[in-house]
Amino acid sequence: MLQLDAVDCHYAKVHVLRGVSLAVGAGEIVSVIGPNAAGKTTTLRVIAGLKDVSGGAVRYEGEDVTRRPAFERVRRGLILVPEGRQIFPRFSVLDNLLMGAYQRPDRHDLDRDLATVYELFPRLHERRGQKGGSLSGGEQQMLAIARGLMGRPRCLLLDEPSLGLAPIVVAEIGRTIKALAARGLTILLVEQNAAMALELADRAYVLESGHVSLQGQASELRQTDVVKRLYLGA
Amino acid sequence: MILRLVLWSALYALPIFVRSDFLLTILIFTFIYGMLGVTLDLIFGFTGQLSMFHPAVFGVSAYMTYLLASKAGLPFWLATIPSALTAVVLAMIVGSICFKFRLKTFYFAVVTLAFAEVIRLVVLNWNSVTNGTLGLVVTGRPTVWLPGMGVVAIKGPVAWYYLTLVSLTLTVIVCARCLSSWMGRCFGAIRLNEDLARTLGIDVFRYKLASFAVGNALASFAGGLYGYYTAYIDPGYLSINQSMDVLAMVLLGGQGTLIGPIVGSLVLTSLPHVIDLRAEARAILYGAILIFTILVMPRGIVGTFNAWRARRAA
Repeated sequence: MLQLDAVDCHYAKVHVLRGVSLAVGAGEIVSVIGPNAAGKTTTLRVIAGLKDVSGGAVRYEGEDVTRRPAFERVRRGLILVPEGRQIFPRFSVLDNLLMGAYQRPDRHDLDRDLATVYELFPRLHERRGQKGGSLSGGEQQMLAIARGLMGRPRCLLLDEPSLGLAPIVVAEIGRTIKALAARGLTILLVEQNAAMALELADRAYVLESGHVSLQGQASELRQTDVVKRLYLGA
Repeated sequence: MILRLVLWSALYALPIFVRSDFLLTILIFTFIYGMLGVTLDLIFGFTGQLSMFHPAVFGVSAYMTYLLASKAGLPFWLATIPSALTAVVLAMIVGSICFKFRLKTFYFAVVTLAFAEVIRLVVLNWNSVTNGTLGLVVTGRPTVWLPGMGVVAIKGPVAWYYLTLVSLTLTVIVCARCLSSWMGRCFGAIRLNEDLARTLGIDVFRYKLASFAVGNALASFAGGLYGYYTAYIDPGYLSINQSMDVLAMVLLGGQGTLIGPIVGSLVLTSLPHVIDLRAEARAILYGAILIFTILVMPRGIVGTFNAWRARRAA
């Protein structure tokens, strides 16, 4: 469904991604784990079209989208939930959700989608009239994910959804991701929280200083010494 | 909402009670500059793009409207339309260049300023058409087509008052309509967080360009009116000072409030008449007011007032 072929990427002269190749099949949960500054977020920004590549290709649903602008990718259901709970703090929860459906041609008729999202996140329904900025960290993350869902993604890109959240909230987000995958959504999950990422994912990639150092079934990766020592703290 | 209706009605009823030409003149200038302020607010206050291009469309339209009316014999109200189209074309060219290169904040301001300067120099040196530094004396009166009455000439302060007030009202209505639609939400998203806007699938380039084109097109009408009202056009219309004055009105009245710039325009237009000062002293006073506003109430007069009302209601 989604494929990166030897993607290179620079920020000015800094070589951030060195020949990153990865693939996500339809209906899979795939994780990318790795330390700070390994290029995880950049990988997602490249896929979403927010950052231009300096080499290689991004393929989505069998088509080369490397040169396609971000908004076209969103329109095709390739939707990023950015890092750090980015929402519009001064917009109400409802308005934040509606913004997620902006690119859809049927954006004036969203009651069904809202109902689905509220069912998944009852708290957002309770707080739909509140300002986005008044929500707790966990709720803001839920709002960011829910906003992504309003765009009817076929492939959802999640950037560090557990960042800075309490363990109990992280567990809740984990359950949500599982539930979404169970509905057939394809998910690419980028995480520093390797334990969570490897538990949720079918397959995983380990990204280190801009290249893929390890890849395989999540269950197998969890058993390797390197991952155990470096990422799981065992 | 009610407060706003009352204020607008009061403006429309004013000439019935007030016959002072002096007051009406100040208000006419307020309305024309208000149009510039409101349209700059659309681009700057709502979409977050600090444009310095306003004097260029203002000046070019002043020249074009008059030249089309005098040389080509078009009635004033028809001559404003090609001027507005020219403003759109200019905005598209300048906007495309700036937004393609993703120029933001001060970079965008400086580049639009540079384009405005280029256009000013063209106007200044194109003697055969613009008469250079000497400027043009505008003869004739603007005519307006009214249903039932046909084409009538605008004469006297009261007629001018209504012409400019209606123009301002239409400007505000068009801007408000843009802002209350999905387009307005996209403008807001771009202002607040451009990267996030892109993530949501907003074609940032297109919406920035739309905001810039609409703002400049509407601003062009102010140029046509101003030229006829003052009966004189010179290249000073396109100077940086105009940009600064309009920006000062937007900041003083309250950016992102749409009607704030009109209040700012009223204050800055009437101030020199209320306080009789020499030009140098006036510039100092302007500067002081601007600095004071930015430091003490960055949301401007209307923004601060709205916040106060919201607090009281809560």
